[in-house]
Amino acid sequence: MNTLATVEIQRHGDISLAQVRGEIDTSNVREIAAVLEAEGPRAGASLVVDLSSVTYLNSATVKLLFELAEALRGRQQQLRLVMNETAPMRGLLLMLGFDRVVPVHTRLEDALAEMQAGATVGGEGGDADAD
Amino acid sequence: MRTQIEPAADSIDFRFPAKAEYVSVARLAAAAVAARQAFTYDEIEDLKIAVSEACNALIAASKTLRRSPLRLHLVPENDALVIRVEAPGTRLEFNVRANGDLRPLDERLLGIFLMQSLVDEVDIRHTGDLASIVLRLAKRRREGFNAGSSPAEQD
Repeated sequence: MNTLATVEIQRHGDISLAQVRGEIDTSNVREIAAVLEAEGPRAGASLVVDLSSVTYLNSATVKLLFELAEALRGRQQQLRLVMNETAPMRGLLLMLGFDRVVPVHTRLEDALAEMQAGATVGGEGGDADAD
Repeated sequence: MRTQIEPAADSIDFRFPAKAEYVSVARLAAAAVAARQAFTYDEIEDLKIAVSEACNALIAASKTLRRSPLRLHLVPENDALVIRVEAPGTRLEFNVRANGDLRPLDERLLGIFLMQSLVDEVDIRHTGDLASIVLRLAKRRREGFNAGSSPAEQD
């Protein structure tokens, strides 16, 4: 992976937490996608992707997130996204209706807590306004 | 004697390889110029995304051709920053105006949607074999605005 971004994976029981830091753009999005997609099958039930420390992302990242959500849903796995209030593109992701596909949280603790509580995916379990 | 500097005289032009790994150079250059014009942090962040999308669109469109370097022109105006990204030997086929309904997801349409959402004007032009995307970001009027206090200046 180039030096623009890093991905760190942590395990919290059945939940895998992927913390992405730095900038995601067309030059490194495929590498980041490969890490996240490889983590998906290992994640017993769910994957939380924390983008709170991402300082830049673009359309390639948005596409990655939609595709990741679709791939996990095909395996009956859950995906949750963490983006704080000031995260770049948060407003645009919500405008695109991403939170109707995947719960978007402003705080990591909330995403993990709802995941551990077995909340359902698809708009009921969490949303941008719920935090 | 005080010399009046015309904004147009401060324009910046450079070329960079038409490769994804150099797009960050273009967006950082645009951000640096915007910061000098005292755009806000949020405006500069939006501009960075729009510039990257313009570069990526031109790089993607030139994939089947011999890739010439992209040219970036940054033209500060009194109340705006105009950015022109040019790719020789490229043809952009953007006949569709993107809207918020982007599923099934098309990265090209998404890029257009982002540019249109983030800057004030987006213009796609062809002159001979030269394709260009022109972005214009206008400065918003702010009460009590202090030109020296843009947070982006601190980056």
